[in-house]
Amino acid sequence: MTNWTTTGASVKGTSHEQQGTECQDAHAYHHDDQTLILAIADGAGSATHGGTGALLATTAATSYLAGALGRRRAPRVLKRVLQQTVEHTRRAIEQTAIARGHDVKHYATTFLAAVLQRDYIGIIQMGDGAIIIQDGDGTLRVLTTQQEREYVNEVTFLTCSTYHDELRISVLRARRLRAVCLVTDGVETLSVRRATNTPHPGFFNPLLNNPVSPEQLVALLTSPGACDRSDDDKTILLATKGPQ
Amino acid sequence: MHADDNTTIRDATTDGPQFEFLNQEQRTILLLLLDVSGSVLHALMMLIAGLRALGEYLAADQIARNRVDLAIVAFGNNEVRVVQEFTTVAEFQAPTLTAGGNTPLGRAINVGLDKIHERKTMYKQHGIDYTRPWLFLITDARGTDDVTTATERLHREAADKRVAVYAVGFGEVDMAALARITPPDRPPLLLDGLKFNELFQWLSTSIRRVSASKTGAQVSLPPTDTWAVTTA
Repeated sequence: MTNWTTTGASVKGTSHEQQGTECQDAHAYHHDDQTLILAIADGAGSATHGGTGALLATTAATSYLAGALGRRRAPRVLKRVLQQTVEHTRRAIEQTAIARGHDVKHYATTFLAAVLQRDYIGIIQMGDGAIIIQDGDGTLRVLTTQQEREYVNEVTFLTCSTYHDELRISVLRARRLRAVCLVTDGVETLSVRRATNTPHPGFFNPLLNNPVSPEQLVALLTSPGACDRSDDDKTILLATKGPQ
Repeated sequence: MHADDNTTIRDATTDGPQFEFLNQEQRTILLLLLDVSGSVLHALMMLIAGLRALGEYLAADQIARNRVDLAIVAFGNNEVRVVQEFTTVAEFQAPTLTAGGNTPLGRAINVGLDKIHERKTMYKQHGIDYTRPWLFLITDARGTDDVTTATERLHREAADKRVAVYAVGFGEVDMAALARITPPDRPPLLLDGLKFNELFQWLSTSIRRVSASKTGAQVSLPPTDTWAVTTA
């Protein structure tokens, strides 16, 4: 994965600006010549330590995956490794909660991860947010599914005991992939059509077709256009393939 | 900008490429049903000024401007005219209105309800939430066409909670007739003289509150005594 570039940004939403709380989104990534690992998380607004939960989820998952995928693996093993990553990450959060004398529910967070190795992409989906890919011919696709839920504020978190009901793990062949983008809910609502779960080209094409710096991502996520339509915390984490 | 579905906004960021954001915020649907028959002529300028103020107030509000959908159906001059198709308040320009002729109120109610239904259907197709639409009627209810079927339909849709009906009578209004037309859960109010400014201020504040609420939540509206005649 040597000719790939990874960039990301997490910014505090205007609702948190008003309440004086910190950004509860987090992102982390690992990039070596065989593997690209991208992880994002959105701490539950109602959880006092949701931001810490998100940070723990992304860092624990990324370092575990980096260790487990030292060399290129076949897709069968990738799926099991992804499942083990979820277990490991949940334990990491639980241990931190216990050590601090807190109930783990105060660290509630969503979790999304993508692992790219040559020809394969594996994804972990827990909660809302979306993973979008772009093919060599420019086609955009959403790999995550929309959460079926009765009430708009009910999301299943990584820390929930019922996490297994909503956890989605899959591995897909992905030849000629040229970009992968992970977004939390605060950006998904601006860029993925809810009714059809399709990515809006007017958002993803400018984002993925040009080189973009973290500063430019921050400017995008804090722009009036973005904040007017979503007062949530916002994260974009993307990886694009350079020219051959 | 897709004018038909109003769910895409083009926004330039400072430098570099232009991004388009989707607007999937919940919507608040407001349809104004305005009497522009001959008996309204003396109040026409105030009505137009009120509409302009409503648009400006809502467009200036950070939350309301992306959530409030406004349409205006004017009836008079022996016709029913959609002077403003549903548009987000950020795009709204106050229309010109001309007064005269008699009052096809029955037909206007049907047009208003049809327009609201179309808008809800479009939002359902796009997976966008909306608060219960307001049908806001301002009329003197004189010299109308046959309102029987329109009244039945209005009562039925209000009872099914598909629309919230607000009615304001002014001038030489036949309040008894207006009270028969509006659903029983919310009787019409009588405008105190020509307090259209105060009426539209009240409407602006009320709609802003509705747009900021979660769909399904109860919203408390400001008191109406700034513009309405209070009966004992």
